[in-house]
Amino acid sequence: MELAWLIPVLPFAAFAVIGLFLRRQAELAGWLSVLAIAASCAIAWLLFFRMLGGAPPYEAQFPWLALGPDVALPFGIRVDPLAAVMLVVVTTVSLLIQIYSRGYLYEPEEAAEAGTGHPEADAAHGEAAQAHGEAVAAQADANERTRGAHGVRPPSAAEHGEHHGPPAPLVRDPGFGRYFAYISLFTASMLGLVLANNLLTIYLFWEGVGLGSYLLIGFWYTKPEAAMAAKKAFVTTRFGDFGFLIGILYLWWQTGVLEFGRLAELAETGAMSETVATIGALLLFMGAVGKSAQFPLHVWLPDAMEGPTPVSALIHAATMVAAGVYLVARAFPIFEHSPSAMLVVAFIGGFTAIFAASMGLVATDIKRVMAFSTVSQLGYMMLGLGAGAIGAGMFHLFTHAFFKALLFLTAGSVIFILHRAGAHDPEDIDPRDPPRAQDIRYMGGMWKRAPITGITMTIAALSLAGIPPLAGFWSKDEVLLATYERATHGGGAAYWLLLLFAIITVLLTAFYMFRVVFLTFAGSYRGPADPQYIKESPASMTLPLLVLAVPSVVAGLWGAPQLGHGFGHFLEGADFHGGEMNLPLALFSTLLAVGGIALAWLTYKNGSLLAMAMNPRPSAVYATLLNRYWIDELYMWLIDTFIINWAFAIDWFDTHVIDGAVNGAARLTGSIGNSVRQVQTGRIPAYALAVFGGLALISIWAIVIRPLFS
Amino acid sequence: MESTLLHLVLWLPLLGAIVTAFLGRDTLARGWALTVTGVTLLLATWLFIRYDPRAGGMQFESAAAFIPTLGSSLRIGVDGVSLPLVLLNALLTFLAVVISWNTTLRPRLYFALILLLETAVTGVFVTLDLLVFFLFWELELAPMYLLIGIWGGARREYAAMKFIIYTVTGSAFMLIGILAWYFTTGAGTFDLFRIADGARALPLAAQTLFFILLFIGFAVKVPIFPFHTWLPDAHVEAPTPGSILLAGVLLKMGGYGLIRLCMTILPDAARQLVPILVALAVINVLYGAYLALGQINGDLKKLIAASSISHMGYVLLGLAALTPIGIEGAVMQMFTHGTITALLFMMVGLVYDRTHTRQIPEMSGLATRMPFIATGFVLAGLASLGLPGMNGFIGEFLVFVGAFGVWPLATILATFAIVLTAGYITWMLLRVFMGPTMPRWSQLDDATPRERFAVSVLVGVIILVGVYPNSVVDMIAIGVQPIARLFA
Repeated sequence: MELAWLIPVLPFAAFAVIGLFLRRQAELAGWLSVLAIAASCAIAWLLFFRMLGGAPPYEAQFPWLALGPDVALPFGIRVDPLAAVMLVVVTTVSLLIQIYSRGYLYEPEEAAEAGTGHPEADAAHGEAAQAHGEAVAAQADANERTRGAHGVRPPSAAEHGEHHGPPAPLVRDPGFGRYFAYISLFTASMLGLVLANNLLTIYLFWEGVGLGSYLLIGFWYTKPEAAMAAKKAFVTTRFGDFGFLIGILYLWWQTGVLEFGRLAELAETGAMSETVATIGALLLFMGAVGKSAQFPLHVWLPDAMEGPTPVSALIHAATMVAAGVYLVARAFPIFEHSPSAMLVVAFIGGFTAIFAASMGLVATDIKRVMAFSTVSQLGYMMLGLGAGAIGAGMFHLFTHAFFKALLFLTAGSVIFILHRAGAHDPEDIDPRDPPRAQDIRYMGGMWKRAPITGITMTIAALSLAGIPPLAGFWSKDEVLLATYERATHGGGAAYWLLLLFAIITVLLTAFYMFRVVFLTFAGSYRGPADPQYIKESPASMTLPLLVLAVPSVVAGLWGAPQLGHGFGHFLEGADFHGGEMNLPLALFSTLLAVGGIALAWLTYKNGSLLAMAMNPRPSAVYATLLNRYWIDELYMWLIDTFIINWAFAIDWFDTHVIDGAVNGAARLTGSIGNSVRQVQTGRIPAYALAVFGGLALISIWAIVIRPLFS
Repeated sequence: MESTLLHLVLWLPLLGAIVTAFLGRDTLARGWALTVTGVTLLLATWLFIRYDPRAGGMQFESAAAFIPTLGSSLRIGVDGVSLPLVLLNALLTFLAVVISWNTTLRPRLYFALILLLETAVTGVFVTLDLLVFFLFWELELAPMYLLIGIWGGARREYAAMKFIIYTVTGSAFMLIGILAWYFTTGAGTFDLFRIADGARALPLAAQTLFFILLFIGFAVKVPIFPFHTWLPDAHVEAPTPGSILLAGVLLKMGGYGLIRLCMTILPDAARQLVPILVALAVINVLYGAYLALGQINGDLKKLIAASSISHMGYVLLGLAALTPIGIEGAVMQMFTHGTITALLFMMVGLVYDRTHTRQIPEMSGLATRMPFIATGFVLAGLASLGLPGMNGFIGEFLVFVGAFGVWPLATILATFAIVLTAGYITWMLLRVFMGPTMPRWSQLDDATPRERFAVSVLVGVIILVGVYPNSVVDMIAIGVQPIARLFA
């Protein structure tokens, strides 16, 4: 069990070595990173099977931060079933994604020479592209230009093909080594976070994960959108961390302990009052809302898609965003002690689920659809936790990690293929649109050309939609069931409403997911690249897809009620009391999912409806969804009004009022000096008078005033 | 024997400064200065290692007669509060010499002044006699005044003048306070601890008055709102090594004075004034952060200077909490801020050396041209915004832990600065280093090996202390106990 220390240490060592020595040794850096995570992964599986075999939890800590002669805050780790599950998920997904990245981080030669970087990196990049984009926009139909009513330019692949000729050969991204340093750092932090046994330690790695995310979103830092998205992600999550940090301070001052185990004892025995639990839990939850991109701090995640797609898969789908859910699960006894905190968690989760799904309906960037889907599914997890079922929430986290990583990687594969085939042509791009290698309106017909990508994405999409017996079905069913149970057992009207949200979300999810699948793979290709160059991705990319497809199908069986609720029993041990499957509920949600897929088929497969669906009539609802309810705009306004403008006002105040007073005082002194200069007459008696006068004053002080005080 | 070590750390730079004046050639000056500060750094490190944190208290103590008729003696010693600052001073002075290697304007005077400054600042931290304390305090002003006034930027004379008038005014208050102590306590001594015994017996009104007098003197130095406006001007005009020393150690003299003089000698007055101190601390933290954000379209160096104001507010907050952890946090924050702000100013200097502008809007995408400098700047920024794993987090976190129980609302307000700091730091990094590289910056070179060395040393310290905080905190935690007991 002591081996657990190695799990985060190995990738961290890889980060240090690459960062210090191997930044330019791309090949070596990549291999080192993969080897380190592979070793961690092996250890994680070893520990997992030991836990499965009934080994007792392992906990170890040492004093880390001295508070006084004999007091110190601890640094410690804990391996228990909850941590073991997460370790396995994080290391496995990270390993596969790193292997995939070794194939993905290549770019057509001309793009590399132009210094613009990768498919996603060259969108709207550089002044030339910008200017050209404007020119194109100027020619275009006004209807096409308004955000909310994009038209499909009649696709003419052949015509574009003439311009392009065969696509350029691929060269490695110049930041290859840096990429693997970052991703190792991120993975190490995430693993440390999972292992932490107390609030301080988890906070250390929590922020480390935030750093990894910041660096990786901004990996293509010369691209303004990426740099801005990195900043947005960092600052938004920091706002949540502000609450988290206060929560740590609050719980420490109230209880004097930081260890999750001891906090749980206090909460379970009632030594911690419900008020303390409520305040503490809600403050911690603020951190979770930021990290897991829950409403109202969800705004950073869609923008985070500016990072390389494997990063999106690892950080913004499978692992980092799950950290918030994991934090709630870790501190679950505190939450359970407070019904009001639980309701808040459930409500935020349930609302986020339906809210994010609605925005996913209209997004046209394939990665953004996935991002909204992630936010929505994280909402499901929170809902499960808030309904009191830690098993349900964590189970959904577990299955989601696999199929969502797979979805992102397949999306990455699509982008890679199209980009390689020449769909990246910047001359076609309206700068406000996603690049055409990422825009589902300019895809299609890839089923035959990229069958592995197509099949694996379909599997993942079916799993996400909740079609039995795939993984997503079982875990989503657990969440719905937990909400239903809570509603019928004293939860009240709020939980019925949340159940309604959750069920509607099933329909929405199936629809938007298959909208992507059909637009990408069905029909014929509608984009600018020459279809003859659209070919399947290399094996280093398709292999991870195939591997990930397996758990996307079968991972759910571990927690299936018919097969003995293995996941729940493992996670909660004796506390677990999972019921039978609620057959009507399961059937109903499956029907809705099938209905959603059918609806997507009818809308996006059928030629007559396709055009209309792609050119929706401008409507208030559509515009609201496309503009994400204008929440970003609202936040920008709030930040401008209350932060930026204040900053400039204070700057003005500082220069003109405070410093003005200082300089004014100096001028005043100067003019007084001029007038009293006349005192300096050069006459000795006058000086003598002054000296004696001063002496007299001091004597008065010493003889008269001083005794008054003593 | 032990105390000789401390004497060496204190006097060696002064000796070096005197010798510099007699060096025949300008070119020898920098090598000599490097040797002297290097040896001093080694000795200070040795001192740091030899200090027994378990035993705590004043160590390496010694006393020699200074002006016996006034009851003033040269009594020196270090404890957990002063020793980290002594080490910080030795480290930053050494790096300041490294970074000013290519100074061509009157190098002998330049390096002599830096060495003189080192002795003055160390003297402030190690002396236990108030008269000597004051002399060292004033001794520090001259070299810094000249460093800004001779080697500074375009408005150097204004800035140097403002610096000296402002701080001398502050020290006038301090001098009145010290003399008042001397006379009112009637012990006929300037010995810190004996004055303290006498001063605590004074009526509360007198104590409060004296506290305020000294507080103003130190507040100018820290700086505490509204006495802070000399700082941005001084920084913007100061040469890079001047800024490093100014922000890195000179500001800490103010915080140190607050702990060692105000709080130790007049605990009752401190208790009396705490609500005001807490309010000032919160204002400092937030005002400084907003001020830094307000520079986002302006001067890069002024932004960093404003962030110093914000971060020094944490020091005051920790002190004003009057809890052992709060005071520990304040001392730690002084140490960590010293390293971080030194690195930040060093990075600003490296950027300015190449771009010859500090205007943020004129820069973009510099990272492609100078990856090392960009990396160093990003690390410094992350440390500054309190990212765990770097030492900035340790100081801030201890302050928050120490203050939250007694002043929850104020602490929450101050904690909000972690969001603002993250905002202005990442925004600044974005505008300076990320985005497309402008054509005019396409010919810039990255850091030289010598510069890389200086940056790496600071980054190493920042990360080492961030990962293993007890390397410094242990000593401070014990060191603040006697002070904290005054408020128990």
